[in-house]
Amino acid sequence: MIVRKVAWLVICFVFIGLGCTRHQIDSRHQVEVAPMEVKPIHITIDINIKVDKALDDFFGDIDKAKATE
Amino acid sequence: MRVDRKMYLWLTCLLLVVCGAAVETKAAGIKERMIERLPVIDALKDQGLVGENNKGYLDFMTASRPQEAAVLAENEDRRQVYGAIAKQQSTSVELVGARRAGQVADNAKPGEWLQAGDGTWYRKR
Repeated sequence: MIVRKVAWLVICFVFIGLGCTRHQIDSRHQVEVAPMEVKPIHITIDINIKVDKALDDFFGDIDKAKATE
Repeated sequence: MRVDRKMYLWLTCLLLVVCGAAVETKAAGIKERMIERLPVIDALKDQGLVGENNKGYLDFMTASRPQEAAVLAENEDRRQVYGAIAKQQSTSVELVGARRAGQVADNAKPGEWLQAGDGTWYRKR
């Protein structure tokens, strides 16, 4: 009986001892992502609109003269 | 000292006005020449002798180059206009020319020679 009790106590102490230990798992997760080229789309559109307007401002009269021929 | 500063300011303003007027006159001169040249250029296009390339300039479609002086003068004037707009918009002359080529293609009459983006020539339908 006493032996059994002692055995149980030992087992309990072992589990308690294990619970008190520090468990740290170092894991690293690296995701390989292909380099993305982010093109400034809004800048390209803005430039095209501004250039088109400047061309219209200059060539508008000429294009109208051609249309009325 | 105050008088000198005022005079300096007035002279600077006057110089800016004169420069602005000079640039405006030059642009107006180019436009007038282009309008004057329009009948000649249109006739060449109608006959299929010149076409509009994808860079915003005229190209001869045949080995013979009739009215060559007029075509060269037109291209030179266009180059100047594209250059001025490119400078104004802080972009390249090539981009301005390409955008103008797109406008010209949209406004072209059926039968006129045009150059596509890939370099092939076609007649507008």
